[in-house]
Amino acid sequence: MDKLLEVENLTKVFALGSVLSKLRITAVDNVSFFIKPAEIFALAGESGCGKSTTARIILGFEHATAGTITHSGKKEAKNERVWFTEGIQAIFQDPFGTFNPLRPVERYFFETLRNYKLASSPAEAVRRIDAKLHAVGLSYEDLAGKYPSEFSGGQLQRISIARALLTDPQLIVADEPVSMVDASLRMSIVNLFKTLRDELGVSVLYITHDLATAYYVCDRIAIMFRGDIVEMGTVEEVLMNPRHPYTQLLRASIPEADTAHRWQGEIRLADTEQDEYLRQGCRFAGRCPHAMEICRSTPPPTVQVEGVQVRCYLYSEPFS
Amino acid sequence: MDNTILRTTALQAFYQLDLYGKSKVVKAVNEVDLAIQADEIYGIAGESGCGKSTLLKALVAAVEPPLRVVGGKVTYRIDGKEVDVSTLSPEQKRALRLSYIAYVPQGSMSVLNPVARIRDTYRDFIESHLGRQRHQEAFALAQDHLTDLGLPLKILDAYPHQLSGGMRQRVTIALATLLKPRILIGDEPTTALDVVVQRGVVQLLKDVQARLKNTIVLVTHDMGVHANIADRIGIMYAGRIVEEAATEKIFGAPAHPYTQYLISSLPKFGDKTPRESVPGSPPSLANLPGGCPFHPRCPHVQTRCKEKMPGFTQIEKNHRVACWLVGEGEHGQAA
Amino acid sequence: MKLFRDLLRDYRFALGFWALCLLLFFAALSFGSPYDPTVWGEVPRDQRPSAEYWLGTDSNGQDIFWLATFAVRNSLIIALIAGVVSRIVAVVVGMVAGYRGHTTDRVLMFFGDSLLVIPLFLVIVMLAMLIRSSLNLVTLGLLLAFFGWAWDARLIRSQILSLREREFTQTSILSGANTLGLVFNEYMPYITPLVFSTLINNMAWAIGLEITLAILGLLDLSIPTLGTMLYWAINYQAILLGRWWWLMTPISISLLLFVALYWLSVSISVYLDPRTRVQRIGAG
Repeated sequence: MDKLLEVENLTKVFALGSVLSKLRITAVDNVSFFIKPAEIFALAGESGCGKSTTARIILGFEHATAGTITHSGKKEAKNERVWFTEGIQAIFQDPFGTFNPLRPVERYFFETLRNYKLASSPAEAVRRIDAKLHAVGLSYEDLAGKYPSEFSGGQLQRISIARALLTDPQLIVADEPVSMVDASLRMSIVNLFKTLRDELGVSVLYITHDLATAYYVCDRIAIMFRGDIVEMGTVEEVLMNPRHPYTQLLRASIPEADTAHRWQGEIRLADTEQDEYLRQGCRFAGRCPHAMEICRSTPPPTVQVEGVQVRCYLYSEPFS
Repeated sequence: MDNTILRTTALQAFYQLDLYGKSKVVKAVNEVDLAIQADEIYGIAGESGCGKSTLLKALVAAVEPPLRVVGGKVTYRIDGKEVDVSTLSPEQKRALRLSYIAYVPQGSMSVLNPVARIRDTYRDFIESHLGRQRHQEAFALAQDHLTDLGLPLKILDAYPHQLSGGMRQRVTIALATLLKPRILIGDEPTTALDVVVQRGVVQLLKDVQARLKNTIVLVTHDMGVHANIADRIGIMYAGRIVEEAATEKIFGAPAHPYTQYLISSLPKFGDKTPRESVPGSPPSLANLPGGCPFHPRCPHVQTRCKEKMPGFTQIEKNHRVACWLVGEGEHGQAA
Repeated sequence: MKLFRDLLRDYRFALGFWALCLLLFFAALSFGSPYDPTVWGEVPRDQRPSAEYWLGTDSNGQDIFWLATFAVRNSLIIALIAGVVSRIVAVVVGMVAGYRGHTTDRVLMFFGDSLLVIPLFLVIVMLAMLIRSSLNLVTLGLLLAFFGWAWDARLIRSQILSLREREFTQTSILSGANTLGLVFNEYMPYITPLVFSTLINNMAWAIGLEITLAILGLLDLSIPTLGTMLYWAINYQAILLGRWWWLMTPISISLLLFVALYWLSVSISVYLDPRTRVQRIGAG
C-alpha cells in the first residue's frame, strides 16, 4: 500500500516550569498513523490533545523528541524543509492571522512563485495565480491590490487554500481550517477539500475538533486524547459506531442541529487539564464510566476491533 | 399572554465613525423588534458581522460612542412596569447590572482578573453591588451559589489560569448569576470551547435557568447549541431579524430563504449527501444593499425585494417571517 | 502626498511640523550669515536687541541672531547623526536578537543591557573629558549613538518576538521566504513606527545631552551649538547681569525644538500604529 506520509512512534515532551521545579508534559505520546495519497485524514480531538503539536512537527515547525516521519518511503531528515522538498503546504485556523494585515494578499502569491521558481515572467505568474484562484471559486481581479481586512473570513480561507495549491503539493495540512469560519460558510471550504482530493489527488490532514464536518468530508479519522490516539479507523466506523469511551462521549456531546437528537443525560467535566496529562494509567480513567483498577495504573494496549484500532482495556483479551 | 420582560421597539443602533475625514455609518442594528418573555431561553442566531453583538450591547444598555442608539427603544419590565432604558441614570443602570440583567461575554478571561484568586473576584462583585459585606457573608454567598450549580468549592482558591477553559467559563456564568438576575445575556459563551466542555457549559446554563426561572438570551452562530437549549430562535441577518419561531419550527419548517439555507448547510451525522453553504458573503453593514439585505444571495429574488424591505408576516401564532415570498407583512409588532 | 495630508489633519503633527520647518529655515539661514561664528569681537559686545542686531550681541562680541542660526544647525546635525546611526544599530541588533533567539539573543542583549545599566552620564562625561579635543560634531554624534541604541533595540526585539509567533510568519515560511526576506518584508511595516518615534525621541535626547555636556564645558566651545551658547551665557553671568537676550535665545529655541519633536513623534507613532493603519485600510 502506498503511503504518502507515515508517522511512527512520534513523541514530543514539553518541559514546563522554572529551574527549581520541572514539569514534563508529554504532548504527543508515541503516536503512529499514515496517510494515503488522495485521502482526507482527520486528526480529531479537543484542545490540548496534541493534534496541533503533531501537525507542527509534520510541517517542520517543531522538533520531535522521538519518532520518525517518512514521506513516500523516504525518511525525513533533521531540519529538513519539507515544504520545499516534499511538497507539503498548510492552511491555518485564523484566516485573518494567516496574512500580514499590513501587506496586500497577492504579495504572498508572487513570493511563493518566485521562491519556488515556478513562473518565468510576471504574466505567467498572474496566469498561474488566476488558475489556482479559480480552483477555489475566486479570480485574480478579486484579489488585486487588496488587503486581508477587505475580505471575509471565508474568502480569506479560500485564498489561503489557493496559495497552498500554488506549489502543487501532495499533502495539505489543514489546522482547524473552519473553526473560525461561521457555521453557515463551513460547507464551502469543506467541499473544496473534497474537490482537491477528487480532482487533483491532493491528500489533506484535517485537524479539527468539529466532528460533524470531519464525518462529512473525511475518509479516515484518528481520535486523540491528551497525546494518545485512542481510536482510529474509517470515519463511518469510528463516528457512527464509537468504541472507545472517550469517542462515545465526544460523539454524544456534539450539538446536533436537529431537535430530534438533543443531548441526553448529564456529563462531568475535568476541572484542570494538567492532572489528566500526568496520570499514570489511561489518561481518560478519571472521567471514564467504565474505568477499572488496571486502567488507573497501567496504560492500555492498542487492539484491533473490526478494522478499527482502539486503545482500551475494554476490548483487549481478558475483558472483551 | 404577555410576559415580556425585555422588549425592543424598532431599535436602531449605528456606529458613526470618522476616520481621517471620511465618515462611515455602520448600521449594526436596523429596526429590530423583540419581545423576550420571562422564563424562556431565547436564541439569536446569525453569521459574524450581522450585528448580534451590537444588539446585545444595546440590550444591556452599554451603548457608548461611536455606537449610538439612533431610533427606537429598549425597555425592561421592572416591578411590573415597563421602563425605557434610555431614561435611566448611570447609577440606576449600574444597580441593574448583575442584579436584574447580567452579561456573559465570549472570553472568560476578560471577566476574571488573572492576578486575583476566584474568591477575590467574587467578593469584589458582591461588594460592589451589595455594599461592603463582612468577609464571611460574601464568602458564604459565593459558596452556596457554587454548590447549587454543582461546581466544586476548591475552585474559589484557584487563580484563573489554573482552571481549564471550560471551568473558567462556568465560573464566569456562576459569577454572572450570583445575584440571581432576571435576565442573563450570553454572547457566544461556548464558541471558543471544545465540544465536551461546550456541552458542560450549556448544561450549566440550562440548570441555572431551571433553578432561577429567569430568562436567558443566547447569541451564537452555532445552530447545534440553539437546537439543544433555545425555546425560541430569532435569525438575524445584516442588522435585522428575518425570522423568529419556536426552535422546532426553525429546524423543521424554516420559511425564510436564508434560514432554509442555514439549516440545510449544516452537516448531519449519518448523512453524507453533498451540502452547499449559503453562496456569496454577508453584506458589509456600512454598505447595505437596498430593499431586503439578503436579496443579492437569495435564489428566489424578485424585483420588489431589491426595492423595499418586507415587513413581518405572521405565519402562525409564534412564527413570523420578513420575506416578500411569504407574505405582504406590514411592520408587525414583536408579540 | 496622501500620507502627508492625512498626517496634517492631526493638529499636533501640523504644529510640530511647522515649528520644525521654521527651525530648519532658521538653520538654513546660517549659510547666509554675514558673520563668522568662530570669530570673536566682530561686533560691539553686550548690545541689547535693536534694529541692527536683531537679538542683540553677547559678551564675546558675536551677533546672537546669526550665532543662533549656526547653533540650531549644529545641534540638529549632532542629533541627526546620533539618531540615525543609533536607529540602524538598534534595528539590526533588535531584529537579529529577536528572530534568532537562543545564544545570539543572549549575547546581544547582554551588551545592550550593559550599556543600559552603566551610569550613562558619568561615562559620557568621562569620555568627553578624555577626547575633548577631537570632539567635533560628527564624533559627538557617534558617541551619543553608541549609547543610544540599547533601549530601542530591546523594544524592537520584543516586537519581533511577538511577530514571530503570528501565523503569517508561518505562511511566509511556507511561501519559501528565507530569514532575511521574512524579517524585512513581513516585519518592517511593524517596526517602522517604532523606528520613527524612537528616532525623534532619540534626537531630543541627544540634543538634551549635548546641551548638558556643553554647559559643563566638555565640548569644543568654539563650535556654536545651543549648548555652547548657554555655556558662554552662564560663564559670563548673563543671568546676574540681566542680559536676557543672550540666555533666552538658546533656551526658547531649545524649548521650541523639544516640543516640536515631541509632537511629531506622538502624532507619527499614532498614525503608523498597525492598529489604526488597519482601520484606515477600509476607509480609504
